[in-house]
Amino acid sequence: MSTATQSQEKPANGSPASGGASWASFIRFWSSVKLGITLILAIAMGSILGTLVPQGDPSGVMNSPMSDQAKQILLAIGAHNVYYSWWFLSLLAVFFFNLAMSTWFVCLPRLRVALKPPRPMAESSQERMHPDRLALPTVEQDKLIAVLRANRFRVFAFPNGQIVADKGRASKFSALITHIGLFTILIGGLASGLMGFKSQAPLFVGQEVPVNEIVKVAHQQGSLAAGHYNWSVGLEKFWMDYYNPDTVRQFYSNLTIKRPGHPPETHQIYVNKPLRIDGVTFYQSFWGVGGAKLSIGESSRMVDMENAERFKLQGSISRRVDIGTGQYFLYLPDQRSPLQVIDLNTFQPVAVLDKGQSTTLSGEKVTFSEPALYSGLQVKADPGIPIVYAGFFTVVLGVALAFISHRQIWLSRRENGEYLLSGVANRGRFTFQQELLKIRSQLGTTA
Amino acid sequence: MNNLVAIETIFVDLLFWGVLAAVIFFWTEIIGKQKWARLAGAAGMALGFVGSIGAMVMRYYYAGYPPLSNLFESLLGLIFALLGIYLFIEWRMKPKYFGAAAAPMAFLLIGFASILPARLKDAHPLMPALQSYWLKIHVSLMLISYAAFFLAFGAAVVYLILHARNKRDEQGGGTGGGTLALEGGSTFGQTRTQSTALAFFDEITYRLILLGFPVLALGIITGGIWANAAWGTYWSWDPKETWSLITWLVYAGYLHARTTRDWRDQRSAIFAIVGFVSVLVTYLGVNYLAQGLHTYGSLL
Repeated sequence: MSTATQSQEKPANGSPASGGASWASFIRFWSSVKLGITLILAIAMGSILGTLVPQGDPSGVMNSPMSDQAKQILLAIGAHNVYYSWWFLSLLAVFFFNLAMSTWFVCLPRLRVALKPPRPMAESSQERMHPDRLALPTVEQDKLIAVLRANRFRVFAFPNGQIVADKGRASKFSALITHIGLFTILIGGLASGLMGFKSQAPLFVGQEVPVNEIVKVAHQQGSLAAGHYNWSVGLEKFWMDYYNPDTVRQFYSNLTIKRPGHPPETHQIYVNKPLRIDGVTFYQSFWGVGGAKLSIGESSRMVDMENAERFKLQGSISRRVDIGTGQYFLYLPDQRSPLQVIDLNTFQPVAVLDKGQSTTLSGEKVTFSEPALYSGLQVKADPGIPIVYAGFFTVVLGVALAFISHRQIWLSRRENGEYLLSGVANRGRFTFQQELLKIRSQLGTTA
Repeated sequence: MNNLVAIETIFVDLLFWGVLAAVIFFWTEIIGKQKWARLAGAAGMALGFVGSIGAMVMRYYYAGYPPLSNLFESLLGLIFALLGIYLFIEWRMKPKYFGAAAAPMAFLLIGFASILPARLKDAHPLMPALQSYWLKIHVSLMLISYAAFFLAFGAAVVYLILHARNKRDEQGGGTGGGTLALEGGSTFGQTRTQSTALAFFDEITYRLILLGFPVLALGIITGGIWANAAWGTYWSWDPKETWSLITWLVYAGYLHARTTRDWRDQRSAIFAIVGFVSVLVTYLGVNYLAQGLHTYGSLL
């Protein structure tokens, strides 16, 4: 019996007896491995498209050097957002349907067959079916069994002198376990999508935000997300460590968490070390210059500044402010540059201030204390994570089992007392042949 | 520090010359049918292996981080894994011609590593996103799987060459299937014919992919877990992520085609070669295709 050489396209219990031929052919089609391979390759092709076309909003496609017609086609099929396009998601749905069908109608029946002990086989069938055959010296049956057991085979001896043995049945669980793992990942992914949220919060030092406010601006929120948090997060401190003046070593934020019924607590986060509280995780994700701290006259204040992109000043920030009777344009290229001040009445630069420097504008003393940095937090809740991780490790276990080879051997006693040894291995045939030779030499040398 | 860099260079030289010698010896084996040449080739590969270990240890020592963060370091790791797997197979199975496939690949990788510009070669301090113990785990798993796929590719090419030669010699005789025939019960051992060599290369391609496949799965997964700790999402369809999944899918297709439909012979070897192309895109090509998280262009 060789499961490896039988035609295996046919599902084992697709019996057409009662349900009719259409049901049987439905099952045969949807559980077929051929369909599976086709879908796997189609998903791979779709994924390739997503790595070639800029993903995100359509502007990426519009700005790329292509003919207008090509752009239209790409946008029409959602190539700028492949992984969430209707056809890619449908492909995944069909794939998982195929996976479910083949697990139920192919993997399970096959596993049931494989777990049965191998059946005895006549010598003539051994010669017909097994290319790997060896004649063994005349040897006592007990000794033969002992040698096979020493080689960690599971041995079945029959009264007529026939011996059947097998080894490595664990490999037969490979497909089933891998498929279960893939389903687990799917369920976890759905749980992530439906029950989680993902948001971003740029916080200035001293700022405190209720977590509910952060959830409100989430760019991704599942319909079943818990969504109600009665506590807040604040930024106590944000700073960077440098290897040298141009190379950042690490970004740190000290977060203050205020929960009702708990004393306020402070936690440090940095890249690769998020904070998890009540199912919400805070990641150090980005940062930026959001304004300048100025003191004008007696009062000090933080001037919120906007991205200056619309003035073609990329990456820098600017703001129009009124100081005294005058109007000024404040411009800060980055967090280490001096603050530039332009008088909007004359359109002339009137001051360039380093940190801590002062000048007089419209009769007021203006001091540039420092740039105001914000720490960008990625904030999310993802109840799917444990499920996804469980799925990950199930898949790894499953595919690792595939490395084991399932070996079955048959021994028939001949009239002259010799044995004919033959067998099949579903993989690792070269090593299997070596193993057969080893068994023979073990019998030969000890005879 | 400079002394340590100099020692690293000596180890890289040892790797280079060891593998170059192996290439020459293995091809001598094929052309001249010299038995000693094969041993000399394996010795060259072993020297190269020692060189790759030495170079990585030196870099770890003077740079102070696991040497897996730029292209040169990853090539070094890949060559180390490739030579390690090769030596294991050589030791266990003593296959003919396998070295002749493995050595040129290792040599091309070293050649590539040595012409890299300094910015991709020299040790640089780690950026924040890379400062994690997952760096060691994730990158080394990926490199081990790549190494297995590189060797599987080499074996598949040798298979196709032998297959073509067999066909020419036998004018369409049987394919594959070297067998242990009944040998009258008296002689031990096995006669190696060309068809057993063919069966061997078919088998070793399959087994190398069976090795690379779970390791790649584990590599992708540890990458996901790391990404979840660093960026807050375990999967973001970043081009490198996506291509590693594509590679995994192609090999999944290979394994399904093979185990369930009994696809052996050339079709299987060609599938293995397609998988290898996908590995190359994942490893090197992606960085030219698109900007993604793995290029570390932005802050993180």
